[in-house]
Amino acid sequence: MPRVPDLRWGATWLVSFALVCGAVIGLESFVRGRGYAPSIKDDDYAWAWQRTRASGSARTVAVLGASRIQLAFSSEAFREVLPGWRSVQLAIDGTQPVSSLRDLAEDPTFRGIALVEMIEDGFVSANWHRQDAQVAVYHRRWRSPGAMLERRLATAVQSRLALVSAAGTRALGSLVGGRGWPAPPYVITHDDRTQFADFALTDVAALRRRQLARIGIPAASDAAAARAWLDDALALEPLVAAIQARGGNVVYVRIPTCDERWAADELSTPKARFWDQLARRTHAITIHFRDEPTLSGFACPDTSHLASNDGPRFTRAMFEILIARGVIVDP
Amino acid sequence: MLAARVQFNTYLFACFFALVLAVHQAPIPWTARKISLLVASYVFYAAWDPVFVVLLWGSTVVDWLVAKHMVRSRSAGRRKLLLATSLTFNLGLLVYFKYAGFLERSLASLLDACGIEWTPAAGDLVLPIGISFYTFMTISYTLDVYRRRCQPARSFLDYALYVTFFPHLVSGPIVRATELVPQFETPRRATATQLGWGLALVCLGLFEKVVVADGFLAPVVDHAYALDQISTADAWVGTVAFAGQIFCDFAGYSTCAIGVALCLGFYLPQNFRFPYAAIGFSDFWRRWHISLSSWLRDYVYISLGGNRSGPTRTHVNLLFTMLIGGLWHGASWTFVAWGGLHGVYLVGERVLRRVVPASPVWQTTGARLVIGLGTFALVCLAWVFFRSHGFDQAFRICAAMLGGGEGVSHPAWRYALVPVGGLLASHWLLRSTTLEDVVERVPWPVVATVLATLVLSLFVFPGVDRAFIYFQF
Repeated sequence: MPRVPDLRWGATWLVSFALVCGAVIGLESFVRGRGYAPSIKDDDYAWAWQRTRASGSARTVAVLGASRIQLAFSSEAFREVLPGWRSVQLAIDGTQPVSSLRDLAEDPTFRGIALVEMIEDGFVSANWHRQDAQVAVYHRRWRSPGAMLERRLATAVQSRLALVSAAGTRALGSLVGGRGWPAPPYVITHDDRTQFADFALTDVAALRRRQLARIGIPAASDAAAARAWLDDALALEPLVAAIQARGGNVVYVRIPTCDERWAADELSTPKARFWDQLARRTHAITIHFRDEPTLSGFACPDTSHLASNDGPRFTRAMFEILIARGVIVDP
Repeated sequence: MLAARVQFNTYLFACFFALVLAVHQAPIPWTARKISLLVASYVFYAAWDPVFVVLLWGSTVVDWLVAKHMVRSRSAGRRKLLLATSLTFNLGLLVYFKYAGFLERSLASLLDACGIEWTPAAGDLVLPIGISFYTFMTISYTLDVYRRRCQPARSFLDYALYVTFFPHLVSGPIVRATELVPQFETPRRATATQLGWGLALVCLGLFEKVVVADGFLAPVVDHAYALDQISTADAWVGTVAFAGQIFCDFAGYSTCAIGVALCLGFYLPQNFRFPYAAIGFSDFWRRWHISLSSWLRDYVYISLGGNRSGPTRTHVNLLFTMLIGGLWHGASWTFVAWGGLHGVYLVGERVLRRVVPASPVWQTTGARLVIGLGTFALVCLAWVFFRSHGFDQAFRICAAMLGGGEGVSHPAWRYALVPVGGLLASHWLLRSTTLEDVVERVPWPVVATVLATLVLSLFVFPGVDRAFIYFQF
């Protein structure tokens, strides 16, 4: 039999435990004092877990889209405006939501409202499959019960301890490189997958430059491009009809973009030839920020996203519009 | 798809293990405790994918029945037939799930080279996790019974537990029946000493995997191996970092497995013995993935004749064995090439031993250090094939390592040499001793502080969530 070191293991582990507890408490206080906040790891299983909450009740708003609505949507403001309703955050950073919309349309148990935040690019058919991977993981979740459970347990820890999301390797590298303790990430993710962006923690000018560099110099659209875009957008009507047939609804929301970004959007996909044409023909409800005074006037620090401090006001305004239009009754 | 959520470095496993340990320590009969371990092992496996529990069960039942009938049979022909049944079933599973696509693609390439166009059917078989490990274990069982090296397990429960015991189930060590089944025959719980050391091993294994492999080394390796052009310095840094990553990842898992088993009162064999302090390649393979290298020695190399038929045949047997070892790791010619390189190294070492006269010079510290570092360098060269996606990449990186590098260097990546340097130093310092001997000489408050540091680092350096590398084998 292999040897086992004969030490005072009871005392050893007691002392270790005490040291770890003390150090964790101390380090947690330290990183929170530096502005770090708990943030969960937003992976495919986190999405799948939220997706399981979308089915069943008609008093459910499934929030679809990308980073804009992840940052702009406030769960607290939603609960204030619609206290008897449930929100489910299904937006995924850096993608387009048609895959999720199709998934909800094909789910006979989804009878709620699909709030679909999409800029014009999202309606183009080439972008319809950008969330297929997450939807596939959701449908295969019965084959990964451990993964789903692990995600719940990890979320419970990550949503309470800022230390585990403080990126120790990055901090160590910054300290060793003489750059001091790094600033906390400016975006954090809550346990319900909503996100909060504090642009004061980052170089906004650099962000703006990166955003604008990403879109490059947009080409002005022509009539043919507008027609092709409208055909793609209207090809989603069966999905809208399927959800409406079950008593639910689909709301297309165009969230604010600002300054140079809005100018570029208007050049490549002018509202009058794109969004307004869709609004006239689709059976979905459409909300464009330019048409609603309460949704205009928000600043976008990086030209493309609202600051999350504005999230509650934006969320309240959006749902008050839906209540006023009769899309949501009995809040 | 690899969704290995049965990893030791998960909150789920911590909860699972706490529950298993609690039941195992409960004052209930030994048979009931073994049943609970068996159920827990199947739950552990099913948490990844419940469907493939059927394969695990099938392999267990087939080899149990084969061994039972083999030992009752007096006919040599019937015993051979039963053995063939076991080998066909287990190797058939392995070939189907792991190598079918590879064989089809290779055949298509060969036919294409001969001017014949053939497209294999599109398929996307999921590789059942741990299949390479548990099939090798069950094969070793039936072979040992056939060769009359061991008696079949008296109890199906003990045998089933041997195959599915969750600490070693998905990534080894590859345990022989003679090592584990007798342990299941006697009631046991961990003593306080075993529990204390077992938990310490789990913490050490998690530190190696989460902090060193995932946190510090994997980012450098991934970036280096994603470059289209790579400088000589970056090629070496990336490959040396991978040498550190794969050791810490795999040895980390083995250390966790040994620690978890010890917490339950069971001993699993050592799987790594400071391999980067190896002096020569025979020594390397007595220190690296010991359970696999001994399996290959006993069931492939010796079965082929070993070194009993002269040097030429010995060299052929060595090469073939190492090619099989390479292929075991993955369904790709680069893995075969990695195995083949090690075969060439082993053959080359044997030739050198015959050609170069023995001398006390070779036993000096300086000579041993030079040979050891040379061994490490050549092992790193072989790792290039293990890590690369294809031969193009492998040759490009090898060429860069040998001076033909191109592109911009990334000096910041060289931080990865610090943990690898520490790893090499620790291997050389400990190469002739054991961790147990070292720890026993250290005052317990120091051990307590070290353990606290290891645990705390799991909070501070949680790393990116990566599956254990050997889960894909």
